[in-house]
Amino acid sequence: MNTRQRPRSTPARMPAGSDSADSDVLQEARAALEGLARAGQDAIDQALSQNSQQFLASNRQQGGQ
Amino acid sequence: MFGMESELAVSGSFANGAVVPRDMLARWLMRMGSETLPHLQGFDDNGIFLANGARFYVDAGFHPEMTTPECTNPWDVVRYQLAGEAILNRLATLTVERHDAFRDVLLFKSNVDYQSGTTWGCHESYLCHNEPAFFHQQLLPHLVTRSIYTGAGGLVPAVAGIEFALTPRAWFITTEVSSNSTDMRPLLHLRDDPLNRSCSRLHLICGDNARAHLATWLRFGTTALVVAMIDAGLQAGEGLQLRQPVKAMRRVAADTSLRMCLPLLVGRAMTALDVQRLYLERAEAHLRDAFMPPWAPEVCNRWRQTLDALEASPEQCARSLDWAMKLELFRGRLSRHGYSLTQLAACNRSLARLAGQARRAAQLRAGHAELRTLDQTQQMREELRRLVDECGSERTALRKLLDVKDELLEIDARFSQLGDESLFARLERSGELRHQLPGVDNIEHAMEHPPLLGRARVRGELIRRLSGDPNHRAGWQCVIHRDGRYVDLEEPFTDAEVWSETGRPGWLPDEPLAMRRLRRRALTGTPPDLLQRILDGTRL
Repeated sequence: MNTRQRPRSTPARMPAGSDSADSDVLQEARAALEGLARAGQDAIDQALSQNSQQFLASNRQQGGQ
Repeated sequence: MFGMESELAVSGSFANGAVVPRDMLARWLMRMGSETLPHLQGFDDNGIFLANGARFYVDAGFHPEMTTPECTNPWDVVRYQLAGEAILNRLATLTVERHDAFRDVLLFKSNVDYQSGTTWGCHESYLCHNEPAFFHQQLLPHLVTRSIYTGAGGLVPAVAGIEFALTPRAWFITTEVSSNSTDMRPLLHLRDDPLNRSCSRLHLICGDNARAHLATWLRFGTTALVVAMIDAGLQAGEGLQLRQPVKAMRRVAADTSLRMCLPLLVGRAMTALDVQRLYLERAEAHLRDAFMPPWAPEVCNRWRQTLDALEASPEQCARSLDWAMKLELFRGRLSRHGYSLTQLAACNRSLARLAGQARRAAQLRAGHAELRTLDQTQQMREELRRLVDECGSERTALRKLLDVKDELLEIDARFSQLGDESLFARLERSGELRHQLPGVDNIEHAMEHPPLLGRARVRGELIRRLSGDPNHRAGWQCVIHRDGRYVDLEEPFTDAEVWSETGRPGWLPDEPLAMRRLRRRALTGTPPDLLQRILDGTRL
């Protein structure tokens, strides 16, 4: 563990006395992340070639600026 | 006023499946642009200027480069960036449609090729009154830490295993300041190429090509405000100077928790989030100052919202910022392959050990020279795979990790790919992303029309009218006729088309480029004696 890392701070702008509201927000965020995760893996399955090594070899680039 | 230049990666295949040489692809794209887009040839023979005021040309390494026109707000930068992508994608599609020899032409809005260890840029320019070196101390902490919302995401290029990076480009930034842009890429580029006679141009090359509109909008909005404060004489970065800025950029880039503390020159340490918050607070304190643009309050609002979301949990930005999107995609893919973080760490250590052996073997073959050529990098990768195959009990796990890494690299490339088949486009269609901004619209219009303010409007309207005329050429600072008549665009906010005479030819056939540039520089003032003699009588 890097000793220069700060412990996780309290998230900014948390309204006082609203635990259920916080819980709703967290649940919403989690649901959104799960939606993205599902859509992401579906999209990857459709977009990937059959052979990543070959795809990368055929896309080699020279350096620019 | 500011603008962006995006270098892209390009690849393609012939109908028989063979890879098309990239120089050929670049030439075909430029040719398709000249045949199908309203344009004027660049004055320096350097690409073409388009009717929306932008420039398209082929940069070093055969990377197609599309700029935006000069813009006056971050919405326009995003709009014209998207317009440029749409133009290039259309050129790629047309190239395939019109020539049976090609099977596909693909464009990638990326910055790093992990296979060859190379990089290319997404540069930004800001109009200012002071020379670039003036911004050094006050601006560098912002450039180092803004990666937390501007980063394209990817893998750390310098390691054999799988380690996530907020911005892989960080490993190609090797110095704080430099005039070089290919060998020693700096955080702050000192090249003094003002593009007009009364102001300076701050040219930054350390940023990423991003797909998320919010990432690009924040990059330009926040940096424009910080540049404006420094240019006005404010100490916007006071007390934030980092002890080792280049190293700090990589530390920020390697830390997905955003909790890493960066040592400052004043003796304490701060996180990237804390540094950004101080810049934001200083911008907010000066919102009413005359030098601040009218959109500054909105930029500060979104800047604060984004920092708050990142501080609460970086996952909150997984639908709006590139690096956070990619991190989720990579995590999901690793999980599907059965990898936990602990397993990854152990495999990474083994691969690091083997990569060191592979590098030493490749260096021996290269005579101990630094491994710079593409072939040498490829040799090192092949050597690494060979060492993995000889590994004994670890062989299967390490071989699988290298295969998974290739898959992640393809995911990274497909994310940056232009067009409907890209991973990013598929995610957009799924409705799960939240990166879009109100006001970034009318992309079709931006493909053909310049911004409403500034010299780009005059340039764009001239180009639309004169398109294809070989007797006229365009540049950032002028549109000029062969006989020497020209429209002066030196002043960034000029809004009138005024033709002037020089009494000298605009250019001569087969004239050296240096001579042509002298003529351009002499357009708008009385040339010094030596220059006058050169232009009058002799050629260089």
